[in-house]
Amino acid sequence: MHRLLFWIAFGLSAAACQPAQDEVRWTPQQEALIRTLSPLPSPPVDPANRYAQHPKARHLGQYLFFEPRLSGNGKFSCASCHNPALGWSDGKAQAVGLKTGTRNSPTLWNVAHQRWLFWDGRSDTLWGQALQPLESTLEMDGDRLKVAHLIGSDPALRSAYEHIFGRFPDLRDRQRFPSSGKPMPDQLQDPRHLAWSQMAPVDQHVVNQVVANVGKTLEAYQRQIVSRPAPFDTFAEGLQTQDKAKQVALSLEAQKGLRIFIGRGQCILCHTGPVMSDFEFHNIGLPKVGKGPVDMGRFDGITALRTELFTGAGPFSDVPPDHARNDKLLYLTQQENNHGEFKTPTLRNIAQTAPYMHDGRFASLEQVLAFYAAPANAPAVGRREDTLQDLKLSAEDLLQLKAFLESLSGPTLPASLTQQPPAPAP
Amino acid sequence: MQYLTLALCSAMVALGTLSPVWAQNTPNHNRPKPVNVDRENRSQFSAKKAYRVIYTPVPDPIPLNKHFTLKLVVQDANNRPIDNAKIVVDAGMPEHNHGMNVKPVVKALGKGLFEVKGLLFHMGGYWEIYVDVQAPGKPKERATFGLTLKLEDQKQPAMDHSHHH
Repeated sequence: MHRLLFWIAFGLSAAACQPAQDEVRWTPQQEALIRTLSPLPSPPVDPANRYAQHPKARHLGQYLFFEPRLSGNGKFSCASCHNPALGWSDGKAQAVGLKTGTRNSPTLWNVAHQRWLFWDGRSDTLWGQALQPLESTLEMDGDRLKVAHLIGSDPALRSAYEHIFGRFPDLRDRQRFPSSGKPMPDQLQDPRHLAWSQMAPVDQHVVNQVVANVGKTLEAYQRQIVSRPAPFDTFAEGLQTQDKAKQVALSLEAQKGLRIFIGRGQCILCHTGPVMSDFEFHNIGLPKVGKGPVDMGRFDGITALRTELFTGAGPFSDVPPDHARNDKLLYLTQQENNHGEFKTPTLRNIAQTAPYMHDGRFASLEQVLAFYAAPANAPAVGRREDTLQDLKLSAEDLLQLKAFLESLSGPTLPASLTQQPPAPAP
Repeated sequence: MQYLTLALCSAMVALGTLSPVWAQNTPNHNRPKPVNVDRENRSQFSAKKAYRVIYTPVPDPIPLNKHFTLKLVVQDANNRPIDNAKIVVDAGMPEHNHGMNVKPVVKALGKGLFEVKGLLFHMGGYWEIYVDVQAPGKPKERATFGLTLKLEDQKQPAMDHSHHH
């Protein structure tokens, strides 16, 4: 009798264990949550850039993206820090251009989905943000006058530009249009700042229009940096269509990680939707690292945004200031809570883009997950949101989450999109 | 008997590890506390019942991570419309200790109706909408509304943020 009871109990035990070993069972609520994460749709249109879908603008933008002549010393291009082979980042903790910056180079994967650009969101347009790294003395250290003269003096570049934007302005008068110059509010005695500040406003506008157009070609190109379907997407499709063959695209371990991601891990609260970002800003309580000044993040980003010229509501936008597209600027507010907030990064292709966090402090996904498992509450500045809680995740949970994050990587883009074309025009 | 005990324990452990699979996956700090459930009514008195505020979102239900508008009806304690009240609207996630990243703009439409534009809830979970009302010569009081924005109820992915209408 004992033996019989033993086998009944053993059988129960084995049967109970079976589903957990072979598959993850999903509730309707969990399936609905997974449907919010996949598939990735096309980027939203950008009415502030009427050239965003222009084929020749895409081509010229791709040429310029890889063009080192845009930099001050002729050695750096956008691709130096946004390297397609390194997940459109640079593999370094902090960006290294002409000097070393203080923040990690953000990936460009799915960048056209973003509402705000940079870790602090100090730009609201993909075309407008391009000028900032180009002119930053830490990064490319180029300048807008030099860029405008480059376009105007190189026959191939000029021709490509004119096929998109019409006649290139006459910049030959070097009294009115010095060979080099840009606004440098932090270095008022720099010759380039002096040259720029001595120009007539109407001439400054002409040059600004040229570099805004350059930015619009760069956006047209970058809108194509869209991640391809990852194993997770195949799984999500299989779950929706009840196709078991597609569901096996996600390992059992990764499925368990997904269950934590949308459930008790609560990762989905901020890593929302198919881009897995809420496109907004959070203070997650990261402690101060190093002796440098505290990074105020979004708070200073909003200050910078309010003086930014190349916005969707500015003079170089292709929509009027009261266009609904600019509601994000109209209703934006700066609050004390913005101290130390940084943008929620996309998780698409996240395994390619180490190191992590706004300052690249974590070298691996393991380190990131270990932080979230027991998040610190000693923020460098401001206060940590209670969105983060001590999740008491086990070592096994963390491995499962890592497996899920690794399942978010899709194929690389074709070579035709990841290198400089031979000429500025097709 | 030792084996029997071992096997029964094994069964209990196995069943025990299975049963919480669903329970474990319910985020708890993303839902209203029981005391807040009454706040989900779209008609609320202000704190000391000097005013009644009724809201309707546009669109309805409130979308995730997109701007939306509120239509407010503001009345006094006797259900008479208040036209010239000062109205300030804000919202936050008390369980998360953060608010919105936007500042809504209130416009009086007359006859106790107000339009509040520019709200945006960037996260799923329990939100509270705060409507501060002050009629001329009357005290300022706050009406508080609660609502739960469920991620799983989002029909479309939360993407269309740059060209809403």
